[in-house]
Amino acid sequence: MENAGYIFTAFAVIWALVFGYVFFLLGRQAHIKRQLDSLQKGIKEEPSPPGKM
Amino acid sequence: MDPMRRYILSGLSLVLMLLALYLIFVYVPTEKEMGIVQRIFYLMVPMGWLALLSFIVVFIASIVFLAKKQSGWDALAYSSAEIGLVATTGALVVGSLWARPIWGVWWTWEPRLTATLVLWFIYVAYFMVRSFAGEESRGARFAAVIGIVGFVDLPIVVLATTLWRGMHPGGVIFSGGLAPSMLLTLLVSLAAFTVLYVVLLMTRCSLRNAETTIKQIKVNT
Repeated sequence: MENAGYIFTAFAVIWALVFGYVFFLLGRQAHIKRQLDSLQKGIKEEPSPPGKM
Repeated sequence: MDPMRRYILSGLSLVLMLLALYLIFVYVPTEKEMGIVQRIFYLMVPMGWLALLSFIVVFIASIVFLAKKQSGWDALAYSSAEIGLVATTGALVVGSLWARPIWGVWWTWEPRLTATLVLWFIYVAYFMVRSFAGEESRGARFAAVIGIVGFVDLPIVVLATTLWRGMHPGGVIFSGGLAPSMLLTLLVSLAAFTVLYVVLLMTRCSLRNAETTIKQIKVNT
């Protein structure tokens, strides 16, 4: 099993990159959800124009 | 992409990944000269393939974006460039881990390695231009130009081993130099990473479109 360290490091690096990118996407998704919630809140708080309910 | 299709593709990617791992660590025989470290090949080639595939998508999406000025094409190019940068980073790091025991060095200015490093810098420039352009639409246009001009490096990466005969082993896949079990393992690994690319690209693209829409809503209100 000579040089086994290199192959395990190679797989660890690739999986770290893949999972790192997936977590980055999850972070972006959470950020978008927060922005949407904030927009929705802004719309609800906005006073309705006169004559309208 | 609807969620059901994305779940199916994610599941397919997971199954193919597990199958590829089984083939790489259990099924495929150890190569005589290089030993166990040759198995890095089944990661290095898919990473290189994804780097190329990503840039082909960036190239096409950039041309269509400049022609039609539709933000969806820019989102596609941006998303593909992001995945391409990750894949190129993976190819360079894994290639270095392969080179150390085989060539005795972590890095050498060999034609294909150098062309791949240039590709990495092009991807980095693609994002730097967007950051420094100030206005979003101007950044998108500048990045699209880099996505088109940078495509010139792709044939250089692919043909580097044929044109300059460096240390990098070239043509082993298409010249029939691989044993059937090795070819099968490589093809499954390529398929696994290609499906993963599609899933990540579609996910990133829909997030990018959502980000753009929110920005437009904020500007208009």
